[in-house]
Amino acid sequence: MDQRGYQDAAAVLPLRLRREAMALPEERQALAEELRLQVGRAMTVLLPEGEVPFAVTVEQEDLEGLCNIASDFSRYAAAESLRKGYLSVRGGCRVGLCGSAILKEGETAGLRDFSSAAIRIPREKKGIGEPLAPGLFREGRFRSTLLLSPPGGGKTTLLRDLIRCLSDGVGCPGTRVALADERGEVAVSRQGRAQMDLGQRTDILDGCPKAQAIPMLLRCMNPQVIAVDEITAEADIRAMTMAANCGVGLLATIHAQDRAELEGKPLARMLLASGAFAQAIVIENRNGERTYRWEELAP
Amino acid sequence: MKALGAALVLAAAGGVWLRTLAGQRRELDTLRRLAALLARMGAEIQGRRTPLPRLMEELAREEPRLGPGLRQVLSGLRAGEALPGLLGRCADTWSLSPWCRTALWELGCALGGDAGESAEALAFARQRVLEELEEKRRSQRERERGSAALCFSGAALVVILLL
Repeated sequence: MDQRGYQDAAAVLPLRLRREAMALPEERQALAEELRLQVGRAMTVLLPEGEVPFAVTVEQEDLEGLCNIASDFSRYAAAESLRKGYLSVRGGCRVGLCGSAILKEGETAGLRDFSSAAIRIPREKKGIGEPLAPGLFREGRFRSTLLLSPPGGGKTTLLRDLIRCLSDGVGCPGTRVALADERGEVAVSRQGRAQMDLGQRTDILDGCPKAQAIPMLLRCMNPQVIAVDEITAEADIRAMTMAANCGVGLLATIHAQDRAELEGKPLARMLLASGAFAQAIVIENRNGERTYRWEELAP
Repeated sequence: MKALGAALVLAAAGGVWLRTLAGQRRELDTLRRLAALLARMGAEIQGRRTPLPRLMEELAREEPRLGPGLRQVLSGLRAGEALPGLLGRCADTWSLSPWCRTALWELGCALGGDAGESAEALAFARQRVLEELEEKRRSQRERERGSAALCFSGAALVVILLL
């Protein structure tokens, strides 16, 4: 049972809340997915069966304290991610924050008067990509692959492990991977260190928009595969097509139940038409268990 | 005997005067170092956005005189205490005046937030420390003038007693 993720999450709570959080039995700690805080309400923990409240009410000062601890008492050092509404902390936990936006010239410059927070506990699932890694290659050549599932389906977790397998040569040839981690959810980098294991040959560009990151990685890091999480914009697709035309393999995730749903979305149709991806891994959830199905995408 | 007595009195007075002088020099030195430390913090926060705990550890290593105070602030932060109170107590460790103590307390209220605000607060605190330093230098010069006058008067008295 691995309670480390939960304990890392509890460590960023102010003392008053931390004591309550640590009172959760260890076997429950190992199953916890999130700690949720809202001013004026009981702190809750998200378990497989649902949200369970603690016997402690969250105050506004608690959220200020949480932000101080999570930013290492240096909000100025985390200004970029705070602007986007989150903080990455030790152990790979991500603290999402809600409050009042501070606007400067129409752009969000930060948050104040925090009203709620969600501390997401990452679950690194090493090994889930190992049976799939050999399928990324055919006749010794990498085949650009899309990972498909609805939101919360496990795309990022699978992407992370496939990157590790490629990078370390587990079940496939060792490959130089460059990761454009725009939202910082794959590597969960903190002060230059990835909190997740992405393998020995992986270069990470954290917090940079994909459309800018892909050309940068292409020019500077000599990747064999470029990995991205969540294709959401036309600019992303153009950058990926350019990378594919330069002979670099692609590994990416996109929201879709399957190929049919993909073809129903204009942006995804553009992606398919580009011919940048040869195949897809469709992640399905059956009776609480995840299964993986291959689909050919090449015309 | 008269000469011996006078010499002992003079030596004692001289000893007190030297200790006072050393204490004043230490105060001035602390203020000077504190002003430099605050300037350095401002540059690090504005330029490299160095997180506060790492910055304080580096400065504690480089500044042995101020180091213990900084380390106390760090352990207090990690124990969940608020920065204003910690910096205020730090001012006591460094034997600073109430005016400087307030400056550090106010600094604690702004530090760690927005980079621009933190830098402004550091510059303001540094300005107060420099003003305190200048004020102490001025009063030290006046005290030295007074002490010199006292010394001459004492020496003259000894000579008279001996005659």
